[in-house]
Amino acid sequence: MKKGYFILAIIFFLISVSLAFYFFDFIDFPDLELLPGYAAMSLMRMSLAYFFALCFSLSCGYITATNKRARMFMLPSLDILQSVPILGFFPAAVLFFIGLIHGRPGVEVAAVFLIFTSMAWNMAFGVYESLTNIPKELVDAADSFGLRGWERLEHLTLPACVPKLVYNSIVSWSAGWFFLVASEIISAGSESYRLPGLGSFLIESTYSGKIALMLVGLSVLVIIILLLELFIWRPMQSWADRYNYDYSGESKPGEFIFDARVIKHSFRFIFKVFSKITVSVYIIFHRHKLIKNISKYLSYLILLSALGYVLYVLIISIIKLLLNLPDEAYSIPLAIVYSFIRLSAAYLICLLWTIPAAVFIARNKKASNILMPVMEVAASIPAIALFPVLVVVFLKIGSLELAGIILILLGMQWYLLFNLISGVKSIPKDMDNVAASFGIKGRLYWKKVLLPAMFPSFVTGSITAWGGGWNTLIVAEYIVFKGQEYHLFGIGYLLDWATFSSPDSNMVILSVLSMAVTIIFLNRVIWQPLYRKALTRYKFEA
Amino acid sequence: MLVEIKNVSKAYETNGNRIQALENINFSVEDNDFICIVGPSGCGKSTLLRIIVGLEKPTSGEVLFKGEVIAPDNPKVSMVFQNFALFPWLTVKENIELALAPMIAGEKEKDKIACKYVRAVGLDGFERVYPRELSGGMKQRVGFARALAVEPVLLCMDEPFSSLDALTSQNLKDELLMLWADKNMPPDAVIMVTHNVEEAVYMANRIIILSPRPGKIVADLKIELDRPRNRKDPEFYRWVDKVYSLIV
Repeated sequence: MKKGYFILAIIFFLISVSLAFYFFDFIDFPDLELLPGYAAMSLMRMSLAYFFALCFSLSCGYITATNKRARMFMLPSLDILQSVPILGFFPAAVLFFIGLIHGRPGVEVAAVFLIFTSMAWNMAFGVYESLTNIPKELVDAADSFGLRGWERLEHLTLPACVPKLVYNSIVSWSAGWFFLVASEIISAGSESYRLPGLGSFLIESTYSGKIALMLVGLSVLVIIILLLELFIWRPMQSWADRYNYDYSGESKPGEFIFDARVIKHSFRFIFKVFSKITVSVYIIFHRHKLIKNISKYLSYLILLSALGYVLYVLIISIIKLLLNLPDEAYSIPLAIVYSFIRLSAAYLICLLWTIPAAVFIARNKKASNILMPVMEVAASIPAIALFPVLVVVFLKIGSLELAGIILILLGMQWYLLFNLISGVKSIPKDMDNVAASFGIKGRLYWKKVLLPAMFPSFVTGSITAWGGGWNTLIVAEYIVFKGQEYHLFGIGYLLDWATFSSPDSNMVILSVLSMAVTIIFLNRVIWQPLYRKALTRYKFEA
Repeated sequence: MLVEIKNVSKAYETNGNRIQALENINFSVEDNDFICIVGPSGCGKSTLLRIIVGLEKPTSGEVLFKGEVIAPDNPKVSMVFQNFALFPWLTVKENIELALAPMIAGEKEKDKIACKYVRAVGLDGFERVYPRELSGGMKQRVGFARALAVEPVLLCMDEPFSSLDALTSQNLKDELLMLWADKNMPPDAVIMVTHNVEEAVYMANRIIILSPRPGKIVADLKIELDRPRNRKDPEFYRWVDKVYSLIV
């Protein structure tokens, strides 16, 4: 109830602030005229990428769940793709697609591709997990009625994916906003690759010194995100509840400010149409053996040739690189170290405030009632959209280092905070009672009860926070303001510079690869062992 | 003879260890049989039932339904599950209609049959309700209606009453016995897996007792008690004691 009203209040507040700016002549109408078009273009990019991500995740998740040979190859590659911060690939993707399609369409494709890559992997995992976790009895029941082919698809396979697909769609959209704004901002660094959209609107109005206009743009972005939350995601979540297996719980009333039956029914309708289309495509491909075989071998052919091409390009460019190493290449290791130190600093600050804050919020009902909706709304703003604000701060205080760390902090903190809060909340009441009955208090309580209990959520929060941090890094280290370039030395700077200041694909590939290797290495050496430990030792038995 | 279970054995392979679950099971099911399969937990009762329905293949041996090898989607054999196995995204009626979908094309006809069996299990008025809104006993009624709607000759049940409370399960048991005795309603024969000996003696006319792993048939008893059976009858308890003595 509360959060819905709160979101509405925020939306009205933002609209009135924007109107106030307009009426008090802080901004000119001609500038504002661009805004609806720009917003529409951003939304188009998101929807297009989401559509592709949905198709990809359904087919890829289905194949991974049903084909043993495909699983051996897909699961590890999905895992790596998920853990690598993809923003680093945007410059590489821009260069690649511009090579294929010249001019702006190439950049557009690159941006949609980038957003797609930020949306697809977790959704594919969601489909895979839902398909492998269908209760055995339900599969048996379907088998015993002889539900096969399209009937099985329509009544068992697709519905089973709905809850996780909806949950992951929400996650994917918030990641998508981040990457949309980021790709628009990054490409604004170069005149020739500009992408009109909300992100570039924000950055352009900042660079031309129109701070009020930038604030209006930011409000529009936040309003769009909140409206989607209110009218798409929340009704969708309560619609998806029907597709959960959990029989025991009474149906919880959806937390919503108005009766969402119309919206829910339209979701049901859309889902029916969607599954009918999927099913008829399936029927077309399976009715005739010939078509089935042709499509099967064709898809193998396409997949293999695409893989071959990528490998070919990669090997050729690596050979070229090794034969002819650019001078800047030697600065890459140092750049990574610099970036890593910056990230660590931001991470430490995060830990310092989120751990006590999480304990306070989780333990204090009043605080949690007031603060949670505020923070959820704040967290829904992609950290990168605050980049222009960072530019302003930088111009005020003059220290790009500090401003950069603040931006990285914004990109990291919410993951940690929300994970830690749910970690504290998941401590069984009995554990606390035991501690209280033995008189365990103060430091001993923190050391022996609270911190160990928070450990699993600390690890998952940290993994996602670092992922977000690496992504934010790419924009945090490089600013072009009024033709003047400011930068912090680091891997993000090297990447942006190599793409836009002196298009040098060798340098881009080298930077991206070394960053990806570093991150995979850190994951394997630090986070995965910690995660295993968290699962085996620090988890409460259900 | 309705079903023939011939020399059925089943072995699993886990972590390189071979576990013999069932060994040389032989029996046959006649028309109007009500067979209960009992045995200690882990003896392979449920596995045997799944093999009879055709959901699992035996390692050796075969199950013949009217002389032919059983297929899992044989509409003449249907199954009731311990945890109901209702599709949470379908209403009561849609759950029943889904079971009919592979054999009946007409929407009207499906609707008619579904309504008939909703009534038969006493759920009139709940056609459009989703499973999560029903109590456990009502869910299992839907499970029965769905299994009966395909008008099976043989009804197989895997501990259908064990996740219900005592009172509800007693009512359902009596209703099921009435359906079984009714010559105009399916099914002709029932096989039920249970670990509750009293339940078995109350319902079955034959009890098959399996040994601990590997499951072998220890005894195949004909229960010669008049129906309706009375749990307070000393004769009833003689049977219960007899079955217990064979299990341990």
